[in-house]
Amino acid sequence: MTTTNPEANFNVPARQSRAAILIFILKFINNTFRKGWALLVPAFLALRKLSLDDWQIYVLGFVIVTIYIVFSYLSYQRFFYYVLGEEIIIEKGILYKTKISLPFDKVQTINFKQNILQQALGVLTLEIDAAGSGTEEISLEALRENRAKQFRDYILDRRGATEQLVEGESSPLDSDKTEDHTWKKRETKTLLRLQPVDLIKIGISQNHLRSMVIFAAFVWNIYDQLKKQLNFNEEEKIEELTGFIGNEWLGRLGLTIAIVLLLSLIVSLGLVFFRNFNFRLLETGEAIKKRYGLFERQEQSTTLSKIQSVSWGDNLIKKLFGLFVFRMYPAAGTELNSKKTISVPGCYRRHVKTVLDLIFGNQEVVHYSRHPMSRLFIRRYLLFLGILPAVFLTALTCMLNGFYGLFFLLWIPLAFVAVKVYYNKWQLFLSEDILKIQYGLFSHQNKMMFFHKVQGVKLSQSPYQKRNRLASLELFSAGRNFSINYLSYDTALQLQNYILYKVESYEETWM
Amino acid sequence: MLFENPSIEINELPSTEALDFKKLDPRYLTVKIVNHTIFFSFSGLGLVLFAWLRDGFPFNPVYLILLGAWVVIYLITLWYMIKAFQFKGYVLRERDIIYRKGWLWSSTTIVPFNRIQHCELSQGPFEKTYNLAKLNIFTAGGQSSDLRLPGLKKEEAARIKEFLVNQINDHNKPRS
Repeated sequence: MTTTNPEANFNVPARQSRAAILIFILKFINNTFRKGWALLVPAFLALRKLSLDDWQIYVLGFVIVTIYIVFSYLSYQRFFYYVLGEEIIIEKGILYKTKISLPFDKVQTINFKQNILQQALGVLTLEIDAAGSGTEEISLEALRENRAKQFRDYILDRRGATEQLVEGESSPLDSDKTEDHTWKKRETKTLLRLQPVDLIKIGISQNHLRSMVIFAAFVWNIYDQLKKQLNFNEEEKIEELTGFIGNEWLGRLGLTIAIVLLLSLIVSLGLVFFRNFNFRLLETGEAIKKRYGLFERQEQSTTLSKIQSVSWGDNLIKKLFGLFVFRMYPAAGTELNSKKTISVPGCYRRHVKTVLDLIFGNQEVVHYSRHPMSRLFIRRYLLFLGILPAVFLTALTCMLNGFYGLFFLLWIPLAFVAVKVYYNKWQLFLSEDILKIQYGLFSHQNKMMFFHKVQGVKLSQSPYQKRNRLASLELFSAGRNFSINYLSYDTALQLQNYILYKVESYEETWM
Repeated sequence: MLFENPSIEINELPSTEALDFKKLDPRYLTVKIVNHTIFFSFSGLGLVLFAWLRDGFPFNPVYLILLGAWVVIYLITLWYMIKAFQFKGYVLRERDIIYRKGWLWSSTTIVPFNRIQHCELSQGPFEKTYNLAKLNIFTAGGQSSDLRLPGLKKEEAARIKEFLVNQINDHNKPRS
């Protein structure tokens, strides 16, 4: 299958690769366990009560396996995909027949996925995401690799002549190699590639708190079980176990925390490593593509113009490594769908710059003006997060425990520092076409978008804001909403008018 | 100063301040009051029924207090609703539509014509009797950016809708 003219291929209803039968079988089995696990246990118990003979069990097993195979074969047999006019059509279903049609111009992103089985069979999953109301998502689970790539190119080609994608990946050095595919310009640039060392750094700097909580629950649970099983005499045995620390309770806690930390570190390291193995972000003409995964090779792509906004930021540990998490938000239909977000688990400042330059144009020549938020923020947050809780807690504990409660007053200077840091970090950057917000307390977060991607604007004022001539501005986009609080009313109004002017005078399409 | 070196005069851009907002049809306030009253009386009735089924007729004073609180909440929200109604209004400008609302908490939502995906009319049962309609304007920005313009005369709503649809089609036409 090396036809260079894909036109002829997709207008006739076609089945997927025969490998689909196997894939469907596994999917059905998976579904049975996932959705029917509640039924399986009683069914199993009932079977045991019947006390069947061996041969009866074999017959039963044979029947079940046959049913699975027949259903999978029929699903394969009845599954067709083709192109009719300006739409992609999927027909499927054994008893209930469904027909999905998806117009080319609704296509948002096209993703490839490949698990180990699919890799062995030489097929992959093609996922087509759509935007807009009442549209669906199409997923073809067993397409031959080159057929899938042809289909993707065909769809992207039909959707817009300007949006061109390239199938093969090549390094910038051999991009001038002329190939037989003359019907499209092909040039793939690697924007960033994560080396194993980077992955280890990313794994270490992952947010461990979440996995820690899960593990803590897990470890405590096991400990509890052990105690019951072995009839632990707590005081003695634990002292034996953690004898090196005098205070037994502290020792237990310390041990648990150490174990949990270590385990969660190992697990997130492993997860990050295998999930993002050989992570690459590629630029192919007008598109950005992400490829990653060891056991499950995945690919996610979107066109540059579909990206509505981006964000990047670090955390305390990532800062040490100079790492940033970078996210791109393509137009996602009605609700923001995190599945469509293209996120880079870790990259360096130079990578951030490369991608920003690609999406927003050379950032070195863009001039931004800075705007802090109103100083009233400090007063208000100090009052609500610092003074009021501190006074309340102090009063409460003083009544119950006496003067120890006064320690809670230390909360006030702490809160003041935190609020002040947040105030200083928060900056609104404006250029003629771009809006960028910088914020964070312990970390540095940034988000950025073109004015012309804004879908609607909302300016609101609470009684407090009215008294102080402040306002909140919300910018709605198809990717992610931006909300700016504690702006002076005049700035907010000016910005709103300017954004409206930019949007309304923007002649091209926003995606 | 918004920009250090702006290419246009920002203060001369059309502002959304001091516009002549068109108020909603006063009959829509009646619809709102009716809806509000129905909601509160049904839930109040539910409370009475619950109290009666539990303890019989001489009600437990706890329920009487709850019921009293319910009536007070009803009256306060009703008062706020009536007070806030006169602040609701909309404007159609050359390139966008603006909806303003709120008395103590106020907001102005603006959707440019070239960002509207589609629009539709809807009518509740009481709106029908008064020949009123609600115009729903949808954008790609998700639910929070959709504009819902209530309290329009049906003919007026249909007219605005037609105008907006024409604007969308004009925008989608290839430019020469």
